[in-house]
Amino acid sequence: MWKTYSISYLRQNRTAGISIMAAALGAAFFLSLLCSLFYNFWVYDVESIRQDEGSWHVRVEASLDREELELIRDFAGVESAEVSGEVTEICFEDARETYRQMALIWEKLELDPEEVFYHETLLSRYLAAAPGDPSPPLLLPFFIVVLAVLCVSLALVIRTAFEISMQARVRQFGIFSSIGASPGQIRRCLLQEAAALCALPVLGGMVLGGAGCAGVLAAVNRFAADVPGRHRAIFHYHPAVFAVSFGAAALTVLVASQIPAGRLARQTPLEAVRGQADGMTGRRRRWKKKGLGCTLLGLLLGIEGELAGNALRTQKKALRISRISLTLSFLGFTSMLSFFTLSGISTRYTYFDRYQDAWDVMVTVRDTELEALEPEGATETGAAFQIKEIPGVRDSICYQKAEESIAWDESRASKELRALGGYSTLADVEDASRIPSQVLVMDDECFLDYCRQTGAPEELTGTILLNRIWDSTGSSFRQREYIPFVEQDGAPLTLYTEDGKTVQVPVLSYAEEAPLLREEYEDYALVQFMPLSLWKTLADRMDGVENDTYIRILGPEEADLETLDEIEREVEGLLESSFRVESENRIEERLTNDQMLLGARLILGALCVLLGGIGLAGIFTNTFGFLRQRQREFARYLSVGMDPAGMKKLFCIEAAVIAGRPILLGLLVTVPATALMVSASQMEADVFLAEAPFLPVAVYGLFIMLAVALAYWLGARRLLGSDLSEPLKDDTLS
Amino acid sequence: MKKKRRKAVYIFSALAALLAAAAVTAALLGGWFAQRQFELLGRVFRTVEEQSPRAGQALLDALKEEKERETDEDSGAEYLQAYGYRARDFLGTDGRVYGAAGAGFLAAVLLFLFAFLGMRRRQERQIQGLLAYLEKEGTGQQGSLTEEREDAFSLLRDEIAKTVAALEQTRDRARRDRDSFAASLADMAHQMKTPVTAISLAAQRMRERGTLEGLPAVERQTARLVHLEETLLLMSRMDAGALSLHREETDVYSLLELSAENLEDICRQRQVRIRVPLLPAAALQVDREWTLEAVMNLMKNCLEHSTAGGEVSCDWEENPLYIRIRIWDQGEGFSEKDLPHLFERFYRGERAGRDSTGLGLFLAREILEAQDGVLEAYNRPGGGACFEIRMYRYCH
Amino acid sequence: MELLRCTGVKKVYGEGENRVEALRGIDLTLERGELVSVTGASGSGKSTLLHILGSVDRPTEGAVLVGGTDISRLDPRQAALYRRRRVGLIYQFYNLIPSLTVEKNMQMPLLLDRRKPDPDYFRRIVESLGLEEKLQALPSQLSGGQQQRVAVGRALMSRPLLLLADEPTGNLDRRNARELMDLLHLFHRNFRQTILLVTHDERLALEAERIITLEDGRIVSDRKVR
Repeated sequence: MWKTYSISYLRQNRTAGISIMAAALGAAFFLSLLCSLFYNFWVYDVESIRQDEGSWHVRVEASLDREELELIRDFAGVESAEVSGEVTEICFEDARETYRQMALIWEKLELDPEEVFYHETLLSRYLAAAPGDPSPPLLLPFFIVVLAVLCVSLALVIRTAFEISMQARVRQFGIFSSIGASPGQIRRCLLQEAAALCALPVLGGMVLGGAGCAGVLAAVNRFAADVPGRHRAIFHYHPAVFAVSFGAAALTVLVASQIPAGRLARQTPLEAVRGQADGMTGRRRRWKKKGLGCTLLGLLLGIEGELAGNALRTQKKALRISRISLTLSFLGFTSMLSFFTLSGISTRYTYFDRYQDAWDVMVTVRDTELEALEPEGATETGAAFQIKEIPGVRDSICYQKAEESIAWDESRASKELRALGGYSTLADVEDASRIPSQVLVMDDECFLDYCRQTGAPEELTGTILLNRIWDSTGSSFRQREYIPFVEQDGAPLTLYTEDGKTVQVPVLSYAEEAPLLREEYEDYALVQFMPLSLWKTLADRMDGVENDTYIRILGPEEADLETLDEIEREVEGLLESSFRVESENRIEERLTNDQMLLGARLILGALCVLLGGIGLAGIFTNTFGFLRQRQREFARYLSVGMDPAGMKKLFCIEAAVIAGRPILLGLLVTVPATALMVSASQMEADVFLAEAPFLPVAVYGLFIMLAVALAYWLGARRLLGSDLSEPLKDDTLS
Repeated sequence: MKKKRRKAVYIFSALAALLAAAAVTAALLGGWFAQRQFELLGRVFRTVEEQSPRAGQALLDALKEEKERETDEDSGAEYLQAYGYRARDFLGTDGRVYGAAGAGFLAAVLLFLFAFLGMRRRQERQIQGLLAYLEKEGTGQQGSLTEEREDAFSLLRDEIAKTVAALEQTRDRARRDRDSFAASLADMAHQMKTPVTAISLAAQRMRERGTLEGLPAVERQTARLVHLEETLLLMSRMDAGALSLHREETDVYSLLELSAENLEDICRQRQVRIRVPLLPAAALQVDREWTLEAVMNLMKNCLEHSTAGGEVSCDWEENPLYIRIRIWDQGEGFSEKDLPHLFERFYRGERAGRDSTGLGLFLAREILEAQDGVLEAYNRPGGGACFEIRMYRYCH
Repeated sequence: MELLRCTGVKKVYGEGENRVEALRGIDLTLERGELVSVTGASGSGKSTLLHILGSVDRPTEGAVLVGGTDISRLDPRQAALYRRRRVGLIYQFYNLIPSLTVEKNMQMPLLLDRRKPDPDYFRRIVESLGLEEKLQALPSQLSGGQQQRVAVGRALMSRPLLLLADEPTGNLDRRNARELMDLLHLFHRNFRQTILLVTHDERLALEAERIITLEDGRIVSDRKVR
């Protein structure tokens, strides 16, 4: 049956076959492209995390002896356990097993859970979340959901293509059924036909999608070739990607091909032959109750409105798919855009805007104590001094950072802090007798400058405290409000030394402003600035100091890239002979960042356009198919004397409703969802609103309107141009 | 060829069933073995570790190494063999493996056997059903056949049902023919009654009067009887199905021309012409003699209803379906009352001639219908009666 | 010889206010070899009856017994087998498969059974329907009369017990209608084919051996003509 029927059918209805093949090819292409893009971005993301932060899964910050290490290695899931310095880095064969396996390990080795650090960013890429974590990272799940939504809407495109071509054939299969084809035979025939029709396009789409993904990666690589600190993306393809995309496409094809069979099963062969939409009962029921919608449309727009309302009501089922795909694409598009806007704003806030004027050139001197730059007694020959002498350098500070802790007593807290419940409440710690303190050691000269700036006595015998703490109860981390940290009573600080003893450090002054540095200070630490000469007396007993020294240089006002480059070169020339140096300069960094942002925006934009395209294709095919199914209905209207103008009005009303409803629906879902996201990331609504992607969404909405309108226009042209007596007269046409 | 294929199908399905059972068994056994091995290793390790904690570490190392091993060069069996262990010592004491394997095999065999027996049973049942049906039909009761599933048997069943139905119909028809023959007999008796009565009346009168004045009447009735007898003979041959038709290719023109020639006497007598036009040749597949008889009867009917100086015309036309022949006159046409009954046996219309038997048109139709023809009579729009013959293709 | 028996067949469409009783209890017996015509005004339920007998529609109530089986209770697959092997259906609007050639259209019921048509039988049917020249044509290339003849050929292909014709001449001109009726009569006569013919044309109905008249879903008369 399949051979005799399907082959000749396909031969004679090439357009139907081709449209299905094209839909299958397109959908398979997009499916494959999306899946492999997703996979590649994931791989890239994982690789960058590995490069930047190391590829370990768990870090144990405790000294383990050889035996313990061996024992860890002998656990079944452990791939490797390496010691580097004081810490042991463990990798598991299956990242998702990490939390379970690690629990076993620390139980066996009796490790202190405090010493075990999970590489959460990396693990979250494998969807491994700590059991019992109340707020697991949702970025990857979010992308997976978006991907799933996209896959569903692509599947709907295939389904629609089938639905359109099958509509006409329900009648033919009704005829088959009436001459004795059993339901099983019809199912088999449809299945074979769909398989024959779609096997090649789907496979082709898979290959093309993979190739497209490789192309995108190549383009990204070329585009971002000169972005420093970025590694090349290499095209990866995983069998699972193929399995998922191919499985989705094949499944859709197979399921969609059974549409007529399903419809036949619900009807007697007679109804199918007569081409009744859903049996007599449905047809008659339609006149019984009229929905509010049609009545409203009827009241507002006259008989055409009522007819349109009725048509939309009775074809609810046929339209359901198109409505879903439209809503999905709109939803996907808008939520994606909002999400990216949000994350864009968030990175900008946290990083760039804040340090705009804090630096021009930043030099990191590796593994060097500040002392080395400013040898005692030979200040004039020290590097710190020489840098200041470089032409064009307006100001420079050399500094080193140290993480120490101080003894604390709530009675030292300022009244404001005490009013809020003291340090322990704000920082949410139980034991506030020893709190962290960040020490910034500056060269003496700069320290004296800072003294002058803050109005403190120009001495090198004590520290200046940055007397502020973030009021985390009264403000968000984006718009911080500060309150004084300590009471300004001049009492010395008690600093803990390496061996747990304490040392008193006098306090020179209390400052509200930090010196102009590109630093982000810890939230609940007392920040103090200390001259080098004081630090030297303490340094031996302190353990929290970092190895690197930083030099912050300000160039002339309104410096351009060349000047800064020049300064950068000079500084490097000065230091390179004796130190290992890395330097950045603000303008260059800014440029790179802009470039990266642009690239990201391009890629995301392309993704959104892709999304939009998929949605629009779905809408177009749907609407067009919807119109073609109703040839007879329109012929009937015309035959009772509706004029073309009336028809046009009818079309317009329908198009408006079809396009408008999903947009409204999409907005109804997206707006609260976005609001939720905004509030979850503690951003002010007006900040988001200022940058909200209104324009693209509006444009996309417009495109939806246009697509529907175009489909209606084409359909209407076809309908009004064809001989309308034909569909009325002859049932045999199909 | 077909038999071979069927055998192959059986063998393959049996093999498939066995393989499936084997696969399931293997999977189950594999799982069970893994579990056993796991437990065995665990027990061994625990014992070793309890006796010397240091060795435990070494064992774990070995275990990890084992897990990551990719090649299988070193079987490690000889180590245990050196201590006199054999692989089967670890198979488990209760012989569950053999039990499982045996059960799997048994299940497969049973499954196969059940399927085979089930198939046999079904076939038998189907044959029984057919037999019962045929027996019932054979004894004249109506059997019932229900379709169970779509297979070779159901096709056979359908064909048997159709054949039985056809036989049934033949039997029916024979019965009906016998009935109609009896009716014909009665008809004939009735038809003969009139002339016979007339003759006997005439004879009686002649005896009473002693004259021969009734002789012409007797002669006339006798002639009618002879005519009747001839037609009845014809009819009886047809009714008994004895009408043997030798169908051969016959040209329409010559058929019409021949019948016109045969009717020349009557034509002359009634001063009516028969016109046979020259149209493209068309060939019929009919029995020449009988068809000529039929056409002549129709023409005669037309002649009888024509006025002097009138004309009887005919034409023909061929299309893929049939050959249409029309014969018409210029008379008054058929009366509305007659039209539906024209071709009935012994029907004599209002305008029938005196010696019409009411058999001519009936015969014509019987002859033509027996040869896949259709005979129709109607009045032409411009007046005059018309006979239309449509000879369809051979389709027995 | 009884071929088919309906008892108490009812058919109701719709519900509530829209309830339409198309058939209100039909009792009917068809004999083998009969040529029966069913007439009645439009809406009298004659087509519904035919569709129920052909198992393309189901009665709401009642039974249709064919060879001892109630065809109104068959599952879809069995019903398909019944349609394929026991009945032939002819519709007013031919209902041919537009994309198949005339030949394949006619052979479809057999192809569905994976059977090859008996070439001799097929040839005879084709010849008597005058379609030899048209076997490779598509339905759309044929006239209405020809299409209907193809439909007749398709219906006869499986040598059905019962041929059901639903207004077969309804869409044909007089001449084509006449030819089609001739053919039906010929098949009836030559194959003793049982035919049930639904028509509103009084003249065509009168040519049958038995005429059944329906009115409002009930049989109002059932008479033998010959």
